[in-house]
Amino acid sequence: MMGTHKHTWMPCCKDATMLAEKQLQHQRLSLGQRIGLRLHLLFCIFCRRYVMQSRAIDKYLGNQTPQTEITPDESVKLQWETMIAERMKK
Amino acid sequence: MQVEKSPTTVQVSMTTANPTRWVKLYADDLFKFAVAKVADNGLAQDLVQETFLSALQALEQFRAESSEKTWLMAILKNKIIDHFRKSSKVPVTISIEEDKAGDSDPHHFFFNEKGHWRREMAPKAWVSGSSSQQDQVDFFTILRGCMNKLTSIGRKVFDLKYLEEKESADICKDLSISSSNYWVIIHRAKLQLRACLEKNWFSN
Ligand SMILES: [Zn+2]
Repeated sequence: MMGTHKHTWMPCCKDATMLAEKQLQHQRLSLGQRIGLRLHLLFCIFCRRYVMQSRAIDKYLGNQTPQTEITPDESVKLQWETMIAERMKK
Repeated sequence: MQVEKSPTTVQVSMTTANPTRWVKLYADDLFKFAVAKVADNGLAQDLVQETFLSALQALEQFRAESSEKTWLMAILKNKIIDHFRKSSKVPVTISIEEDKAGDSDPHHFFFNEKGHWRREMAPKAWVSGSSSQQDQVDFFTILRGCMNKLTSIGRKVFDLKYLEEKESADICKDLSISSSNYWVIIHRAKLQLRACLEKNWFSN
């Protein structure tokens, strides 16, 4: 439940999401921060969702197609080669 | 019979670009990168083609100290960023208050004075959309629309981070911002992006 912080050292949602963001981007957190974040996530469904969704967003932004190896058509490549050759003549 | 001046050919290939081998050597990697960023094969092809054309026009600017591939890749990244900038007319909506919150204090918009999520801004469970090809394309259109709603600094940081794949330390240096400032910008941009996606895609 939100709004009941039993421990003053537990981060609020604003701080917890910031910590989570740092952790997602491979920034080292102190032990206290890690424990605080863990505890907060244990109690807070909203921040748990935030973390999951933020991770998903990172994935979308970094690599937008989960496709397997994809290469341009040979015909397209040929077209490019011709194009470059043409321009080089000038 | 004349003796060929073979040493010069070695020198040439080391110090100047050699466009005739670009397609063979780099087309696959350039294309793969473009597809990963724009999620659209046809568009990716166009961007790679434009990259080759621009590179040909700027041949004399090519510096031997950078590799041909790095150079072409840099041109492609600029093309992609340009494309995203131009295609900003995606109809995504963000709430008026959020728009107004702009550069002031977006955190205040998401969290109350105690630092808890505001009820109406708290993350909802996302309804996972279907994964058909068409939906995927639509999703990335929305994603780009939401990216374009970010503040300019947030947008800049995200471009450098996710598109140029730069390290945070380098981004701070490039934009002359402190590391704590960097985290505030990332956090804020992520909050805004998340809310925008939830509103425009992951809800019914
Ligand atoms: Zn929370």
